[in-house]
Amino acid sequence: MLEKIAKWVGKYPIIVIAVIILITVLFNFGLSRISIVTDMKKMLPEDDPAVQAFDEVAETFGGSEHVMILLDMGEVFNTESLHEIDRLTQDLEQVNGVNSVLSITNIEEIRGVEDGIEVSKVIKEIPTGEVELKNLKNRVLSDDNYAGQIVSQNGEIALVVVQLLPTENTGTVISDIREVVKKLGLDEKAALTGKQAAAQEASKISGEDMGKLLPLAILVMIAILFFSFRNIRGVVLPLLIVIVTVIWTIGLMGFIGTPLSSISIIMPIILISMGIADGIHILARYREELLLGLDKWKSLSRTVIAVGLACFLTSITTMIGFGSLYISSLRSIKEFGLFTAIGVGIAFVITVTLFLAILYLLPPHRRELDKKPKVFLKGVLEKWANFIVAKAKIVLSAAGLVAFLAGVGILFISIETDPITFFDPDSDVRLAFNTMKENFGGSEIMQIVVKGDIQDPKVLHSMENFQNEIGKIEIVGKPTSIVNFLKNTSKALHEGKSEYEILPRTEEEVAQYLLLLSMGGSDTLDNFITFEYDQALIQARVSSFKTSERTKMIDEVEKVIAKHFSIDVDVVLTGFPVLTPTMVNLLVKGQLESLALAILFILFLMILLSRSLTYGIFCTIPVSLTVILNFGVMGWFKIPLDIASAIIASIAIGIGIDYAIHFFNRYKEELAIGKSSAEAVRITISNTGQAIFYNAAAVGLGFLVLILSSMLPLARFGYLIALTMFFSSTASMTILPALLLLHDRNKVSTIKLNKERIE
Amino acid sequence: MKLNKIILIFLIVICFFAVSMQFPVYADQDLTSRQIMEKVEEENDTEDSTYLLIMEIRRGSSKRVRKMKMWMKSDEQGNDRSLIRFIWPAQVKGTGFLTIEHSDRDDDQWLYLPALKKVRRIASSKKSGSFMGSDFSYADMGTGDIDNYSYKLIGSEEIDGNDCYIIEETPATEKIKKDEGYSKKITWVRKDIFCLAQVKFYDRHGNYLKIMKMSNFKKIEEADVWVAMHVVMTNEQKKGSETVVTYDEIEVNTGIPDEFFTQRYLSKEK
Repeated sequence: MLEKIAKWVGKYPIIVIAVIILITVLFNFGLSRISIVTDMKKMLPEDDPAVQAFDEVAETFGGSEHVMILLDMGEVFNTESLHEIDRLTQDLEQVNGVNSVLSITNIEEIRGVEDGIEVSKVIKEIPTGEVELKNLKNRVLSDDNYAGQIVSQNGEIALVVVQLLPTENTGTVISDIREVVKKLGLDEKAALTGKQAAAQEASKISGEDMGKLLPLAILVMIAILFFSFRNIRGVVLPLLIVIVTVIWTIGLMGFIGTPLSSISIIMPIILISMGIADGIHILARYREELLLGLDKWKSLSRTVIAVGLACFLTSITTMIGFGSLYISSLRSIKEFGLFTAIGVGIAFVITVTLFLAILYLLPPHRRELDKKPKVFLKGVLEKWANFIVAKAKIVLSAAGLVAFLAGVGILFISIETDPITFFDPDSDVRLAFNTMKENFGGSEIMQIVVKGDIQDPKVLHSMENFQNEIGKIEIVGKPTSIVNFLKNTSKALHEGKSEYEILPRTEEEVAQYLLLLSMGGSDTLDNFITFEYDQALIQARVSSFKTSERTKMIDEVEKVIAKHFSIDVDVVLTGFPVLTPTMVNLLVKGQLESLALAILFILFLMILLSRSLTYGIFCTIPVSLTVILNFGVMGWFKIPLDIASAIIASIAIGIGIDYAIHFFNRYKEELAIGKSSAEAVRITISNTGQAIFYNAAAVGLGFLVLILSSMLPLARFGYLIALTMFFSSTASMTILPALLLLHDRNKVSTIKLNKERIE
Repeated sequence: MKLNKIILIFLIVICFFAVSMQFPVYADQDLTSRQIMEKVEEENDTEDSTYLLIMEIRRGSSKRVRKMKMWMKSDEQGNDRSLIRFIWPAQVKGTGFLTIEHSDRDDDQWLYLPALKKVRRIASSKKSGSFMGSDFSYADMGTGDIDNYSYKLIGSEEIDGNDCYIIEETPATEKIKKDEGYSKKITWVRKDIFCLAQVKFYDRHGNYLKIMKMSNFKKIEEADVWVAMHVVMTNEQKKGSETVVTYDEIEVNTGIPDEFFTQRYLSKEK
């Protein structure tokens, strides 16, 4: 079938080229419509109960997403600083997408005064006198409602908590917030933190990364192509395929409206590294055929027949590898897998159309036909082939040992995602995180929703006991809820006597206190209790991002909930600290499922290709071994299984199998024309081996470029894939031939047999 | 001859101007906007008033209902005094809220909580703050001083079958604007009875904020005043946010004793 396509392309090369160019221009328009989305919550499936709870809380209490702004004022309690904070607070309230802003200058308290009670701002008017400032400072810092909550204990750092409205694009709102900070000249003193801010920063960094790394990856490709083909055509043509592929793929995403996420933003680099493969194999074989003295037409024809199928298969397997990510429940990963798979498919299509068409049009280049470096590589490969043929058994034993050791390593793998370590220790995000942790008990807010008759003193007491107990958990900061407001009200109503800082005892008291608080005219209550007094919100800050610590915390909190709340009260746990461990668990589970799926598919395909169960299994062994090795390395070297590394396994399978396919393809070809197993192996290694080498080098080095990324997971992704390429190409050229040799050693080729029969 | 012609033309022109001067922009009345508002004030002027009302605060599908009795009386200087006693729901029954306005300083506000058996002063909330969590602000609840705003008559329109003047009100000073929180109000005054039929409120930034609609007008014969028995305040910026006030009983000029507006009386739970 491929032959037919090739012939057709050969007949009408110019039409083919024209059509491709047209379509490319079309997709170019799609490119301009592409958008980037950074919302972390978008990564989770919508029907996950934790996500739904999160959304519900946002709707009921006005937004569960917060951006914290740390202001290092040096001294908060002087007139200038307070004015700056006040201006910032007021300006931020005007930002579209912001529901409320809380800072030391607008925070309210319930205060007992002379003969009454006052619900008003802690700082009613910014003091100018030294004595007043000092008194204010003392008052604020000695109250644990404020010290460590809205101002640091040492009085140097002020915290501004911005509550965001539930919205589609938090990225824009956060950018607007940054604008406001900048306009007030506070960006030297300010640091934004909180999950969304960090996610936005991450996207910005990866965006900048791509800007640097993409050109670098292209340069690396150019170098490799030049090294292997030694002429301009060998460099330009494969690159052309790749660039057109990227335009089509991203253009498609733009047209459909799928945004790029912080994961799929590395797609261009992946497509570049891989789109080149088919081109390399075709060019290499073409060159080989030309060397035999055939004309252009014949050579191209034979090339297509010989490697066409293999190229098709490698594209399919790679598509399977990425496509298997689609079963992940995380939206971003789903989209990433899908579109990368599509991109790989497009690369193949472009190869058999545009690439071939151009080759048909250009005269064959004979100049590079006798260059020394090529000969050098060939020499090395020949020696290698001899070694394998001679010591097949030893090779296999060694492989077996390595596999065993790696397998042991797998037992040591830990699943750990500490997203904060993704950022450079010197980065703003990391520093802000540390400041939040040290001074304010953490930047993530955990939310507990209590559904029941909140005016019932029994329910309020349950909440109080619950709050006291979870407050003792190490990574949990001081919990706040309507309970705190009511206790403060009680204290204020009794001349500020601390023994009255208790909850109201009867339902009437509760109702009247709530009436009192509603007369204060402030909206703060709305954030903690619903209108009909049937749901209350408890908030507590969480200071650790570590999955293991959070999972432990969630378990503990669930236990405390069961302990203090009676069954007729419904309690829901949510907030980002609760969502992320869920996300991580889902992710890892999904990856293991993707992996199993990918292996099965590939095995099936191999069996189909080789029309034999044994050969099929043989072909799958090198790549399976690679995966075991990969995980083993992670286990031994304590590289945790996290978001980035979990994706790798199924991708590695899809890409790694390519080498075995090309190898086996050539091997089979040689066997079919009468060579013995050993000879077939030698020829394959020396010739196709070169293409495999360049292919692996191209892909490996292309991904290695990611090491320079400032995002740790991307860097890890880069070197783990490069490592995988190295392992699987090596395995395909050692283990596979060894297996084939031992299996086929006694098999005399059918042609030889026939020959003998005839004779 | 020539001079006569000139004089004739001159006279005609003068007559023309004289006649046209008789017809102001709005030919159907001869009142200025200020005068209209003065008449509104006049028509609603009472010595004291007593209301039994139900306030329903709606937020989407949730609502909070409070039944209360309200006494209002101005003092000699024209400052408002009001006493609110909650009747329903049972948990808040007996709670009292006393407000005494002052011309030279902030209002005094006192709250009595039956559960505590204590009267407590509440530091006066901003006039622009929400009254009890409803869509009415404290500024909306009081009878405003006519000098706080400047008025401009901008048209005429029929509301619910009644012809109304449309008056644009702008705060007279920056302080009023800041205190009450409105950059302008558009008021519809019924031409027949000089009662407010509708008011549109615009926030500090000039955005349309809320609309108050009055209906079910009843005349109180003894005092010769008209009162709207049904008032709905709808917040146009917050979807589903609305407060409905329905008056069950209104009594006017019954001679409420000044003693009602004291802390001592507040604690009597009556």
